[in-house]
Amino acid sequence: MARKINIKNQSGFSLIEVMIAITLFAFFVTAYLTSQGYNVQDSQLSEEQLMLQQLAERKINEIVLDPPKFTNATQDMKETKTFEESDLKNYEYTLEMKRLTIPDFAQLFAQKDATTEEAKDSYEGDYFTEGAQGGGQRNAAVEKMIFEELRKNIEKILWQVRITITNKETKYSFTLSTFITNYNEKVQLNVGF
Amino acid sequence: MSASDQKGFTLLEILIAIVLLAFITFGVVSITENAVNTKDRTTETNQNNLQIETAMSRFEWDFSQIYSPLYFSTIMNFQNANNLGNQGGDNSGQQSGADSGVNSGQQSGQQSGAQQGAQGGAVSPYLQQYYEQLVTRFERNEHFSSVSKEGMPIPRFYAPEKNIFEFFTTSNRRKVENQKQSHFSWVRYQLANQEQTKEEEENPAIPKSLKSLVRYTSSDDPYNDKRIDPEDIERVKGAVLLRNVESLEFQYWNFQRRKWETALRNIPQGENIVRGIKVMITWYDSTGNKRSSARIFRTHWPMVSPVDQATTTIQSGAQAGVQAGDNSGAQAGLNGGFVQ
Repeated sequence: MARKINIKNQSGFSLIEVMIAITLFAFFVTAYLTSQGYNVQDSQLSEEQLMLQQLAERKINEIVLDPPKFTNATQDMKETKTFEESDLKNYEYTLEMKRLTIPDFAQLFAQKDATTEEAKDSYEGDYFTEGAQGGGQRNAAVEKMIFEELRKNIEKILWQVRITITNKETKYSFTLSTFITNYNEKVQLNVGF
Repeated sequence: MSASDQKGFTLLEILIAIVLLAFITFGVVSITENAVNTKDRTTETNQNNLQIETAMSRFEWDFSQIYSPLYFSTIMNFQNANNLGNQGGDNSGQQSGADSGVNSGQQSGQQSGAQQGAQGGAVSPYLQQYYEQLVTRFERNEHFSSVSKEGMPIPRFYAPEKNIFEFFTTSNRRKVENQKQSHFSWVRYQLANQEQTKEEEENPAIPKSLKSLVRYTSSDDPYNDKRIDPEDIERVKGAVLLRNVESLEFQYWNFQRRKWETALRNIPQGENIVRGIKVMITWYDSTGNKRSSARIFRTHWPMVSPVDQATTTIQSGAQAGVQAGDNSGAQAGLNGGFVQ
């Protein structure tokens, strides 16, 4: 069906079409502007994170250089303070201290518990026990003794410390933890054979 | 359909179209400009942060590897070393026990007749000569203050002003293969004059009198006895870490008084052992913001102070002298020889 083209017959875009077009355009603009906003935000966030990390490192170094007294009172210590510097008033730090605890020998080496028949068998063929009757149990005892000595020393000397820096306004935080050595304690080994 | 039938746009239509186009163009241009500005701003912020982080990681790298034999050893006991030469002065074991541990250990070992003791206590003539040479030849200079027990020169850290710090570090890495360099080098941080760029000059927020933080290093001859001279371009390399620095201050941790000191001489053995360093720096970033930062760095050495074994060796030597003849004497002689 051939139709004569007449300008007067032509109609413009309908209202719906125009609105759809505008909506699409609005979506595009919004998406674009939001991404811009995120850019700025991310940049600020990275600056904030750098700051928090820097403060955490500084605090940890301070503690390593000048450790608090290691007593039973400092065990499970948790204190929150605000930085003293005027430009750091927004930041607070939480210091947590804990003794390092090592699980029991039995817990760590459960499969080597010498009370079960199976374990005995596995010990029989173990290193330096070949042929010796009941050697497995004796070695387990020696291992346990050495382990206990080491555990006692490590628990005495090593402490865990954790620093959390928080920005009081934005609530962003950064946590850093490390071991510190109690130099007042000495290593004591009383392994008698 | 002929050409004369066609009707063009009316003037009004075209005007409206142009106005609309103008509006749209204006919108697009402003959005684009906005985007470019955002990019510039974030990049600048990130770069400013990167700049200070890079400078600080350089500090961390250098300070954590500060080197001095005193972190694991003690100063050579000149008295003991001298005694090595006076063999055979005393005959009785008891008297020699008051002498250096090695000396008495050797004699008691010989008296006991135990082969082991004699071997353990014997000092090779070469070693003896070496000690003598160390004692007589060593000269205290600007870079090294004395010799450690093992014969290693003990570097002297240097902080004449609060914004200068020169120290001995193992952080050097040679960049060219087979270059005559070790991992030792002297490093000096200090502020140096700078020429401002055009942008910095035009920015009214940035003062004119600012300086640059420069890291000078001299690695070709770490045993050089002269302090680093920033003017000596041939031997000293300088690298700008941070521009537009207003102030820089180093502080050093005093273990005994548990506080930060500005002068090394206020700390016991401060010229030879540094444990913790606090850096306080104030600078202007490229946008003209004044910023400041305070960081703490520490060496990676354990926080122990090595004690000279000489006292204990003398005791064991005395013990050996008293008990000369039996096995424990030989044992002590062995120990005495080794510890020294």
